Amino acid sequence: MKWLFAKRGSNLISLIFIVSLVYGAFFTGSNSSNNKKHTTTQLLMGTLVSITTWGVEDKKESKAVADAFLEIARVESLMSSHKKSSQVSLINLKQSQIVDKELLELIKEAQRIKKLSNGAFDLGLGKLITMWGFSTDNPPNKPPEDTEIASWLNEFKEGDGIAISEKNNSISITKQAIALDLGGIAKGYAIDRAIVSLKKSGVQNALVNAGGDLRGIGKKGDKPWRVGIQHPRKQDKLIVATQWSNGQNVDMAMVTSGDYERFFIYKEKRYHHILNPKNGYPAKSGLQSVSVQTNSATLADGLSTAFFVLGEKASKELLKQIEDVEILIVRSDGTHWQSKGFRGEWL
Amino acid sequence: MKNLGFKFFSLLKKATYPADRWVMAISAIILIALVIQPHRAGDEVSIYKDNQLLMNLSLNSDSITPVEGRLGEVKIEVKDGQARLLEYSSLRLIGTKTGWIKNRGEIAVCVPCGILIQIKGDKKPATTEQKEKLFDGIAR
Repeated sequence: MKWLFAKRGSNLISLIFIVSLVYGAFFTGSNSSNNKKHTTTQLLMGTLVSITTWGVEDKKESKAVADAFLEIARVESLMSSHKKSSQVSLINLKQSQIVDKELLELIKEAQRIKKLSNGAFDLGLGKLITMWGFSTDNPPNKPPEDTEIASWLNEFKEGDGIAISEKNNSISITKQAIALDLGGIAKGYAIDRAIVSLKKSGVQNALVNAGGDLRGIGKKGDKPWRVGIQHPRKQDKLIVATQWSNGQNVDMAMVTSGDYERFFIYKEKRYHHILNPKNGYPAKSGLQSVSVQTNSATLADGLSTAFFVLGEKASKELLKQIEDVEILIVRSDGTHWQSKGFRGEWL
Repeated sequence: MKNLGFKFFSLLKKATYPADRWVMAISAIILIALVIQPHRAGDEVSIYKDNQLLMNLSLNSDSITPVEGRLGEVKIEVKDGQARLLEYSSLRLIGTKTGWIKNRGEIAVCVPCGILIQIKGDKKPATTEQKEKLFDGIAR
């Protein structure tokens, strides 16, 4: 040990000291970047979309998240009825259009949900939504005339009106009253695609939130992702706290439909944006909101609209027919019901 | 403890030349500066139009910056270390109603204008807001 304190060993001590400091700094830096929660937010699909990741190196994270946002933007440009060049807009314009297989599959899935929900969910309501004015950035301030709605309904209610040809990869509209609006399902699909992109980039822990519709994978270190559900009447309050795993990795989506996101009051009456295809008016099903949990944001998105339109009784019936779907219903009087497997704790 | 520190420094003094001690001190200062430096970046507000970063404004000096949004002019006001979005042409004025934002990660947005502002830097995220503190996302 004598050499350690000899002057000639001093260079070695200095070296050890410096190496220790460098190692310490390096170790601390890498450790913190791997155990860090990153959230990046962009404006897409007419809403705020944030992607949160956990435990990914900074460089890899930036690239993975940028790719996931690009994927969402790609889905938007393919499926938005607000973009004139989208394939959905072209279907509406030309009444018949060859489309990407991806869009065809999503329209098939939407038709499946329509059938499952006995028409409570319908992707052909584009003209009705435009009539009500809910498709514009600024909300309407009065409802359309009853006669306008009656005339639309008269033509809409007969038959299906959307023809899918898998052979030609084409979608055709066969009724004047129909225009495609994938607003009730495309956001969920974009979330699912973002998750696929993140997984492809090697991200194992992430939460994608598109205007309050979410899907999460993995976990946040040793903790689960925690998501609150907003109170349908008090914007600053939460009604439910959900934990998305019991310390295990998770892959779950949660989508909420409610009468409070887009609405207007006319002559003291509330008109919201979830329209009932059976009568052309905002659904009056005795509910304020429905939250759906399942492993696909696409399915959760379509079903949340369907459940909201159906109301509590019919939703419970529908729930018996589908597996791995859990729901939480908030009734008009503020009371709630949740299915057995719904992950959430009422606050 | 005080004794131990004294012994350490006296051993260090015995075991090293003054030049070594200078090297060690300078290395330590450089490393500490390197570790601290990224976190000391000035707090600022980032302004985005259609998800493209337009500019960063320091929160340390008061300013009013006009930005051309999709619906016309939008102003970003910085005052007393906080920022707010002032829109004029959007019907619902959601961004304006958000009010002042000052904590890291906080956002004010005008969707129809395509303008988003977000606080960046080292200020701690809001801890008073229950949802910020406890949740990774809010379903709505």
